[in-house]
Amino acid sequence: MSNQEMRKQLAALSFSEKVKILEKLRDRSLAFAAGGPRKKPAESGNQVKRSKD
Amino acid sequence: MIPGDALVKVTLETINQMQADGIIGKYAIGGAVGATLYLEPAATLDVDIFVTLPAAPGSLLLSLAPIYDYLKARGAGVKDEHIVIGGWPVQFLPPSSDLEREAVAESVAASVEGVTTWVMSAEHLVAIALRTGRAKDHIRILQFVEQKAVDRGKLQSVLERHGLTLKWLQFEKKYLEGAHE
Repeated sequence: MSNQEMRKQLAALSFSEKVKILEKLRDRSLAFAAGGPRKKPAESGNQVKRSKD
Repeated sequence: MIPGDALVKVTLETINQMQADGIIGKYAIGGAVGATLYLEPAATLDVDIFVTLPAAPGSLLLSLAPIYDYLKARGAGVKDEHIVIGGWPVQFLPPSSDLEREAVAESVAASVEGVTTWVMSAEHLVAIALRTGRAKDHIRILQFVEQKAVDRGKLQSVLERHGLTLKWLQFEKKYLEGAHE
């Protein structure tokens, strides 16, 4: 689907549905602001196990 | 605030209750949340509410204090120029021009999960964005035009009424010339 079609489909949603998306976008922005994007865990071969002292 | 805890529905219910209690008069959602009625949702952190305020008896000055007092008494927090209702920072803006007053008066009814609210018309949102004139306002106007979400005849008449025709012609020349070909 092209960007244009995607935008058209999103614009055609009901106001309630679009507000739900706004809420999710805001949650995501706040999560990014609080801690940055979550990093992917390193591949198992490269993982360093930490043990409590 | 726990993610997922901020609900526009709760924000609007509180504002409607405040209206029913006579603290505010007619109101209309503007800005990015208002534009969401007509366009695809775009990330925003706050809600702009344009609100008419009953003048205090014996005073010509309009004050937002009754809104803040009412909401703080019901647990809302204040954050910079916003008041946090239902987890959403809300900015209450008394209309500062005839254009904004008309935008509130001619706002359209919409519903968020069964809660009735009022949103500025697409034409008023575009006219206000044109007058405000920041980069993000220009982007929003282009979205309205590209998605044919604005009635060009109605827009023209709003622009003429509020002395924005020349500004629109400049905007068209800069951003829309050749776009209709």
